[in-house]
Amino acid sequence: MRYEAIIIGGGLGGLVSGIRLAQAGRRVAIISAGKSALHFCSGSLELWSKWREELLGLSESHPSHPYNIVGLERLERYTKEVKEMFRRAGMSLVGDFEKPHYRLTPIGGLKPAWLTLEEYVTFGAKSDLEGRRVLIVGLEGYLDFYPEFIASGLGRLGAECRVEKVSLPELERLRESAAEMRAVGIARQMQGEALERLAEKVSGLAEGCDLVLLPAVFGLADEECFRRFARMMKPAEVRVAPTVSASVPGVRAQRLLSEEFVRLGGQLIQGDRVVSYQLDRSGRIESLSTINHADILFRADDFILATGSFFGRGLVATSENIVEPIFGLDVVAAEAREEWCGEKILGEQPFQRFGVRVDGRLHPLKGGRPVENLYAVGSVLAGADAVKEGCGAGVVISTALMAADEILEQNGKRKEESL
Amino acid sequence: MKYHKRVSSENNFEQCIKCTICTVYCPMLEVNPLYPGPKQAGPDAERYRLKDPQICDEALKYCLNCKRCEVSCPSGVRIGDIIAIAKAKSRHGHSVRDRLLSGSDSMDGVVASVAPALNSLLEKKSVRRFMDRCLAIDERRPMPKYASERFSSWFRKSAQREQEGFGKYVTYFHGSYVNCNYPELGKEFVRILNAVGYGVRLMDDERYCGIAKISSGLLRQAERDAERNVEAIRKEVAEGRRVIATSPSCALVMREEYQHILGIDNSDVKNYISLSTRFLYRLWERGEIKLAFKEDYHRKVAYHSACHMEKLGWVLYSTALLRLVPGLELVMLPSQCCGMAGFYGYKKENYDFSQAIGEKLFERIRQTGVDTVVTDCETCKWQIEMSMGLEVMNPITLLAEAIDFEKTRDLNQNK
Repeated sequence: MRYEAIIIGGGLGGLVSGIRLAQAGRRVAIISAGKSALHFCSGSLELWSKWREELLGLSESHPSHPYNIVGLERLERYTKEVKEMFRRAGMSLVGDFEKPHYRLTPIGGLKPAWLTLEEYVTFGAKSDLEGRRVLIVGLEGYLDFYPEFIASGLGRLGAECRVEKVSLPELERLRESAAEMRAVGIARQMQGEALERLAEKVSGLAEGCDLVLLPAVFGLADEECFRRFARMMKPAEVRVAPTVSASVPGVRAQRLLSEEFVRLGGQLIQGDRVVSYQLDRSGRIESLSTINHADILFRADDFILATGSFFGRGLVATSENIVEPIFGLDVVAAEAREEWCGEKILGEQPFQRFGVRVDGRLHPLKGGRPVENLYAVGSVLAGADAVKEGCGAGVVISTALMAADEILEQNGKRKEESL
Repeated sequence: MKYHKRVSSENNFEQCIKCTICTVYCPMLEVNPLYPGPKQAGPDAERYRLKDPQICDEALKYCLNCKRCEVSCPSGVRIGDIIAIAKAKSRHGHSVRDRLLSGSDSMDGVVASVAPALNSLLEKKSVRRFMDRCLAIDERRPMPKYASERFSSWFRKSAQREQEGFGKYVTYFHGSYVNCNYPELGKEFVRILNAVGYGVRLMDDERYCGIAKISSGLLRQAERDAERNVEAIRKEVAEGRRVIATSPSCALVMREEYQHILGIDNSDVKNYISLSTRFLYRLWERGEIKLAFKEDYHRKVAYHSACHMEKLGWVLYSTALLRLVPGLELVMLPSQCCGMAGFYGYKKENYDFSQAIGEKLFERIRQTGVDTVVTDCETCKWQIEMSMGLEVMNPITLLAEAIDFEKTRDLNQNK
């Protein structure tokens, strides 16, 4: 099978670069081994957990951070572009690069974020919470949402919080299998009469409140679900708060971005795994082989490695070392196994920064030399600690768009030369 | 990598990191809260089953073996296989029904000889009610029609001689569906292959692929058939022929489940087992065959990605091949289970779940407004035809309809 570009990995990075390339008219395929970490989406795309000032000084404070390859100028541009990309795919994001806001964590903390899906609650500043009367509504039998934690978190910032629980007959059936009462199962019930009934019940409880928070269990198949619910809920403002995975808006994001990619002509190959690659005489990657397609090779001019880190198996920890399993690329990692992890689970974890080494154009190195037609993007890259720095989505999106742009630019040059 | 080999179990359940992504994509969990879902029924419960093999969970029977959990699993856990094995082990004795539905090669000839009478008998309300009450085969589900001449008989009688003199050959694994129910598909396959310059052979002793037996838990019987098939495939491969099926489930079971569920080592021949559309598209893409189509052909169809096609990862070959047909308007349906899952949907206890799952697909088909659906899977065909009254075609059938055979034969100088 012949394409212009092949992307390994169907998560946020793979989809974002795939959409960009497909939009530019390129014949692109994404090869994806299982669904991605988008399913754990908090509702927000984070760029940096500290404020912008720190981001400006990044080249000095964190010289090996992938953001330094992208550069602040492009990072800002890409933040705007991804907002537009999500909008076209059917999701609306609030926020911008200039002015970060706070998002709510599932246990009631506030964390800075730059872009957040519209239905999620955000706060411009912590002081906004002072005197806010907040109603937090849990669902009977649903254990992946913690209204009391959220109430106590927001309470510390001066909000007056009340916690209520509601039950719906539609959800009773789910409780027959208690362990499987998850956000996704609830979201499937949230339509038609169930949605109306919920709106009615919550409206009844919302008297005197100016903000109502519910778990993010709206709109698995139907993007308009939450908006419809919010319109029924008068007069209080209503927003959702994140749940434990799988995240309903995350599942939706995976679907909508995939559909957008396919709509633009991209080929999405799912449930398959790249097992080897073939080089041409000049040392460029010529093709890939996968488990399902075996001796039918996937050929392309350019390849993007968007396989993620340990969860996506972009990096694999063996008993001896950390490897990039497909190409055997150079990996930045501590050699001694005991240096991989920090002692405190919530402290710095060195393995978070492990990943493949790239040059200034995102070409990964192999044996110290850049692989010319391969680009590495997202969390497979070395240098970032997505958890501590709150930069997971930012690194993914900015490097994914940069790699796509590099490919388009190089292709343009090649075409000019051949003319 | 040595380390991983040491700690991995056969069906790698310990690779499950409890991310719950599979539960999002399980069609059964969506309609049936009594099913514990792929994560719990598969890798979670496997820990307990390792301690005590007698631990069995009644709810395992709900699993459709659609494998959508495996396609969605980021950690590569063979969730469906784990469940299938546990399901088979947890059953004691098998009902007459499951044996009947799983079929038997030795009965096929008898069935064909009485096919017209059998078909009309199986249409009778009273017979269906009897089967419903006594065999728990749901009376609302029409039985598939049996052909009065098996494909294999037709081939040996009417087609085998014409297969002489080709420069290249493939071996066709027709499977029980083409053999007993729908020989036309096999005939169309032979016609297309001949037109592009390939002679067709059959295996000396083709047995049922075994998918129905595996999903009914009849592993011992499935294993016997599988061993003979693998032997026969080996012989074909040794003589330089690929083995091509028209049924994606046959291809999947022979490539994957023979090894993962029945424990038969097929690694030497696995990649020589392919599907008709994949085989044809690969040849076309390499320029090794040419296809000419009728100039006045026109049809609008919706393509349904069968679960086992998703698992094989081969939807792209069928759709790429269909896209070669000028005058064909192809609408892609979102990939979802039709609920049938082979003979699963025939079983009385499953019928309602089967239809509830299917309804979501039927709704999407209705929205497209087409009157023809194309899908590679024969039991998806039964389900959509029965539930919607639409025409459902295999891609090979559509190609046979659209190809200009005379021109195609000339282009390929077939003998």
